[in-house]
Amino acid sequence: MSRGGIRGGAPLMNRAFQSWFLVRLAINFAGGVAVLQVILYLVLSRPFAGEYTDVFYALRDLSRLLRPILVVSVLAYVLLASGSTGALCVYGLHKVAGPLYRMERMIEGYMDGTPTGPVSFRHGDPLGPLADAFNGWIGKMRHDRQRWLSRMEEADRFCLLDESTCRAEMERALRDIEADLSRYR
Amino acid sequence: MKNLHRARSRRRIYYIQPRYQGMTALAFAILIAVGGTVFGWRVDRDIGETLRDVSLRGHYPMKTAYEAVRELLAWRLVALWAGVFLAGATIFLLLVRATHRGAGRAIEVFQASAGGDLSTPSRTRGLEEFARFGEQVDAARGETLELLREIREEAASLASGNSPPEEFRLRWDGLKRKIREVAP
Repeated sequence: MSRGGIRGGAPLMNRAFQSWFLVRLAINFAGGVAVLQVILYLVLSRPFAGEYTDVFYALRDLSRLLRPILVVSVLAYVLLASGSTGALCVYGLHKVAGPLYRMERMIEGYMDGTPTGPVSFRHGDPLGPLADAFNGWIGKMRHDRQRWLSRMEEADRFCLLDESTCRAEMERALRDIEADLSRYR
Repeated sequence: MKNLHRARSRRRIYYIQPRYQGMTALAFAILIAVGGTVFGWRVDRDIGETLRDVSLRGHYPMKTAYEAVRELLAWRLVALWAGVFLAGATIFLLLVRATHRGAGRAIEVFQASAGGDLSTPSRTRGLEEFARFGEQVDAARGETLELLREIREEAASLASGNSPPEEFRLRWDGLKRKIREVAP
């Protein structure tokens, strides 16, 4: 089995998708940083009131109060940026998660013996090549199955002649099928 | 008109796989929290120090404390954004790589299966989601191979010509039924 890259088919998660996600990520983080900036600006931009002593104490108090202010503003930043990035992960990566989920259901159905139709995803979905490869495998299996059945039905037709010819032809068909099946390992 | 209405009202489904999207979101959240903590620690230290220095200077030309720390704060915010974004981009590119590896391996396994190799384990690496999918694919391939082996053995046994005609006919029909079970 080859261990190289994906042979044929469209690339998974193409450059356009990667760029789209990275731009959204940058915007999300910038939004979080902007919120942080606004909070700190609102806290630090209150004009000094009073005389020299008042300004001195205002600055000293601010340096003492800075830690709780920072804790609250950083918490707001973390919650906002994490929430929006979480939403981006759900929205941006559902194009991988959805097809993968469908493929899992399809494999489960195949194992249960449910008739399996060809899998197709929306145009541009990153896992399109995976569906193509699955369809290729199932298609090949069906093609082989049809060939074996046709070979058996062809042998069945000889039964209209005489018993010995029929049996000989059936045994020949079985040997052909057996030889055909030997490639599966 | 009805179709148009239906098309408009059709809800788009967004699949959520906690292990895939959830873990990615968690990785980003940890990164944001770490970035925020480092930012808070640095700003607390640097701006606190600046405000104390300014208060001791004895001359206050600024109208607000923000004027004293504006530049420092701006640089810290830019550093926060750049640091978190670069680390986030690295996480995303690693995710893309892992997805590419996982899905690429699954594609190779399907292509090899079409060529008759149903026994080599997929050993899908990368993300857990794809490893699980690889195991599922292996199970499906294993079942198919088992069925094909049964068909082959039955075909070989029948072709040996030792069965009486009545039994041969019954087993012949049974074999056909079994073949129809391949890739339903």
